[in-house]
Amino acid sequence: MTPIIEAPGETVDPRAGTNEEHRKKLERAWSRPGRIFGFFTATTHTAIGMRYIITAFAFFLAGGIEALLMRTQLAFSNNHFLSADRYNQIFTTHGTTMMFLFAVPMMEGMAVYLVPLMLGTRNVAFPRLNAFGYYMFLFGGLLLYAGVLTNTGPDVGWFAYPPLSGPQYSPGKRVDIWAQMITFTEISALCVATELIATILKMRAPRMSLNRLPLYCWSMLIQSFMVIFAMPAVMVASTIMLLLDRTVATHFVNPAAGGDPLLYQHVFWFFGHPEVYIIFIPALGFVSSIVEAHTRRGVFGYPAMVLALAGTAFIGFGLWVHHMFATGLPQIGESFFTAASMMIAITSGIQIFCWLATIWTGRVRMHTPMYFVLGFIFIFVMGGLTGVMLASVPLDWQVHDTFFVVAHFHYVLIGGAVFPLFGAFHYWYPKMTGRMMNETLGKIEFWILFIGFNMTFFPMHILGLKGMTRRIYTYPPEMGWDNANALATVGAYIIAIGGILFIANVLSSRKTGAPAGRNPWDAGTLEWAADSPPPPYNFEYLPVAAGRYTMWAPAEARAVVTGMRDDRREVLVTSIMDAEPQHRLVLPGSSFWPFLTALLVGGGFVGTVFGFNWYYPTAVAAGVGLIGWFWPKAPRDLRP
Amino acid sequence: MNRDTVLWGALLLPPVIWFLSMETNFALAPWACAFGWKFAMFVVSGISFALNAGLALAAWSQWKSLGQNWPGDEGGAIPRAGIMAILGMMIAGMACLVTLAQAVPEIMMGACQ
Repeated sequence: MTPIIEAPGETVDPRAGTNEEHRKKLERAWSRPGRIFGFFTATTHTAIGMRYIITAFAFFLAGGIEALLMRTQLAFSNNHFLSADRYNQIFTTHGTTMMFLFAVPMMEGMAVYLVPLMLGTRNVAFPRLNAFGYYMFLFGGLLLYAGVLTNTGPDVGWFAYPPLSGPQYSPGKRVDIWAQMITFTEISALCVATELIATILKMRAPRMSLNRLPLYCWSMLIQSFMVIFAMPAVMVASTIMLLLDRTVATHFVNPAAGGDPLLYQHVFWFFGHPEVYIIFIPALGFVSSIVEAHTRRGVFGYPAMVLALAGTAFIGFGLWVHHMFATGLPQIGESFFTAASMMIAITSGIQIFCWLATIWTGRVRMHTPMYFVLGFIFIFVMGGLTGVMLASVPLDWQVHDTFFVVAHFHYVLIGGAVFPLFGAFHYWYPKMTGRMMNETLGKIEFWILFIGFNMTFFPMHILGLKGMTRRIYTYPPEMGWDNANALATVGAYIIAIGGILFIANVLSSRKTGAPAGRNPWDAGTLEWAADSPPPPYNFEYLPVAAGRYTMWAPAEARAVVTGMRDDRREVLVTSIMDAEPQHRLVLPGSSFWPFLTALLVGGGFVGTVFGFNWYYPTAVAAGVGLIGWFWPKAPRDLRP
Repeated sequence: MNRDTVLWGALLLPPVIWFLSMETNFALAPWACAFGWKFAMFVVSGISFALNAGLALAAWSQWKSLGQNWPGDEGGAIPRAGIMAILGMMIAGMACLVTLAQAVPEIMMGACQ
């Protein structure tokens, strides 16, 4: 049976029976088994995406509590609320949590949930890999926090530079746990990147040619390629070089054994700087989606926006040495990275001006998501300006490893990623739950977070310029840092109040929020064509793109695909550039094997923290898991 | 060479060319100091600039052959090729610009600074 694109008004496929029968068949084909066992077999993108989002948010709360503990410790001089050792563990766990367990997985979770809906398809390209990636992320996070709870939390910073992280200066298992946690989370990130690339390039709605791809999907396509190029570097740095130096005494980065610690820094920051853009680029996609819906027009300068996303991604790979300006590298070499660091302001500037032009020329509706977008623009521009300052070698030397840098990267990461993310939560919450969030509470949340954020992080610029270095657990009163630190601590508690209000809004709106309907914002992209919340099959009939903003096209221009089977998990594969239908693909159903494989591999990885020989049973366990995963089933559901 | 090959080339090659030239020049920095000779760096930057300019030109010629229209969100291969050509021009242009910016210290600074 060939898929057919049908005009509106002919949406009932005669071969599918009545609409009700059709829906029931789809429901049966796409639902997972019930009960506890069934929970571990889920492979639909909405289920896995939601688990990513909830888990990453739980880690965000843990990271936030750690931030409050740090700020309490630093609130005034000579404070001994935390010991030096506990403080080291907390700031390391905070950085590690926010970078590896919150920011990247949260962005990926949002994409896993949203991208197939925006593309007008029923699932991601590799559903079981998607489930496997989630469990690896979960187990990695649990490993880190198991270490923290048993006083084996890492204490060498989220980057774990040798020689501090080497066997001489960090005996015990703290660094090993950190290094192996990286393995878990990077495997997870690579799984998501692979499936998103395949989904975006090969499973778009018919007629969604590349020039019609939503900007959020462009941002996730580009971010996924960045993940594939950047993430292996950190695995080389942590899992291969650092861990092997520690467990089997190789000589990669341990200077006591003739290794080169600068090699570690190069490889780590080759991942570490792009990581910032891996977090930030999806947020740019959120902002574009929110601005479009709230101005009810397409973003001004679509090609320029795509260029800016791609330009940010590729220049982002040419900045890593600006984290190493103080290491004594040749100055002419450092200057290449100064130039690239300043050039990236051009691509960021293009986007800011495109959004401003869109807002200027559109009919703006000031709902909560727009507040977060405007807050993002203000904070991110400030963070970007201090970034351009830090690109200059002399200034970098002056403020290197001070609170000025802490202020800069929080302005960029919270302003550039967390504010858009909160905007995105408010914007897509109706799609995910079927209910609207409370607008008044949302606006109060925004102002509390905005004021608290600036109160916390702006004084850190001053502290940095006054010489307060990072990663000190206390300071003497004669340094004159008390007032600014006290202000920052008060700000941190205000942020916490904003966070609590957000959680209260999420929970209360789940029950009492106004019903959202399919498209409460009158937005243009295809996720708003699905029910809220979407059923496991997403769309009764797969939509056909009628432009960049199908939902804004006249009803008579919107067509759907018919001729797809509804008794199995069938999706439509389309061509890369013009999204012409090519063939129908049957996706695998629910399965316990991704969970079991992750459990077997994860258990083995935990073992490798205690001995290299654990890699052998881990390889066998992975093999067993994959055999079960790919074991061919009787082709009952493949009958023509 | 067919149109799509040129368009993909103009989209994907400029970042690769720029990255290779930056890496090569970074690796040449200690060598330039040791021998007091920056010419190799100029050659690398020059080749990178020329290749990227060539790719920008190739994308522009494709855009010209497509009618030089600013593409909207019309369906079909021609508007899609138009936007790919414009993106190719802009990405190759951006790679030229970054290469030029990185050539400034090569010109202004001594090899051993």
